[in-house]
Amino acid sequence: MVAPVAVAQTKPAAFPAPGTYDPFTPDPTQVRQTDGHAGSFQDLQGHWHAVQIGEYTAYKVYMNTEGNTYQAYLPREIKAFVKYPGDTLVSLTGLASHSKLRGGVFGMQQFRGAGLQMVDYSYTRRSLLERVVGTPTLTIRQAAGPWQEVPRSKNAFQQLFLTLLADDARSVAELKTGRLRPGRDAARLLTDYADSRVTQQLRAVGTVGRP
Amino acid sequence: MPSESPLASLRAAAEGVRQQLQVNAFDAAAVQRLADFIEQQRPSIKDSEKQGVVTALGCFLGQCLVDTYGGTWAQGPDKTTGVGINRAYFFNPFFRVSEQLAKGEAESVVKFFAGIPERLALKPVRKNWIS
Repeated sequence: MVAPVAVAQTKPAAFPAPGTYDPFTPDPTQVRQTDGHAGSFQDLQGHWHAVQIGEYTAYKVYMNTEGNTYQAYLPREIKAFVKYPGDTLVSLTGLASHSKLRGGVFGMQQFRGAGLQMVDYSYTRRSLLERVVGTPTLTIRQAAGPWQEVPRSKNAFQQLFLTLLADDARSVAELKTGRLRPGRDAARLLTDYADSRVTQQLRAVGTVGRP
Repeated sequence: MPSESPLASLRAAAEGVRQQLQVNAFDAAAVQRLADFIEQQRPSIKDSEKQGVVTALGCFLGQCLVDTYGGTWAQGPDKTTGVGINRAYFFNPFFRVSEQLAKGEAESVVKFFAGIPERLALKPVRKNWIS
């Protein structure tokens, strides 16, 4: 069972109270499984805890610290969880454009760096097939500000990214070619931008020579 | 102007599938998950979706070949994209995915993947593709 008191005490009544069940009904917030993965989660106070990560969907993750019983956690109860070796799922709450998702969802972090964080929440699609082959559903934020949708239309995507990456001439030039695919190229653009920012900073302190 | 290389596109597609299938690596266990997924989805995949499915899942299977058997993404003698291994063998993961989609478990990607070491042990042919 996940131990941290802070999380347990803030756990909202996401399911009907246990007392309303027949005594032989299994607790619906728990599952038994034997094939969890090593990972960790970040509580609402920002502290990280080692756990075993069980099954997860866009709407809940099962975690435990020992045994085979996994407890369900909702996106509004934690900030993020990581399934080693490197999948980071982030709680997205208050997605303004999606009233159905306002209770919060987990999305796969696609990029984090240079003050920007981008998450794909395709997990909310019902069909696994759509999730596998469909266009990513991306949301982005700057400096831990509010999440904003990454637009699917080329023009709106270009406008948003021109604003976000305005301080890097190379990214701006590439965006202005208008040849970028909003869903597919966003992560690569951000990676190039972050690399460029690091290079600029190194040049500023004289570590990297100018071309 | 920086732009995404074909290799980066293949890897990005493979990574997207890996995340959605919730597997940890491009390995034999991942190929088993892929085979189960194909079997599960076969009846419901529409003709209009087939090409996209084969492309995405083929990238994933190809990356499993690259990571597990030390292969490299390459262009085959017939100009198709695939994975070369040991500079002697060329495999087309897109074809393997389409075969299981069309014929089911008799053409399972798991059988194909598990049979690779045996094929690699055979006398190598001369490399005739571009990597």
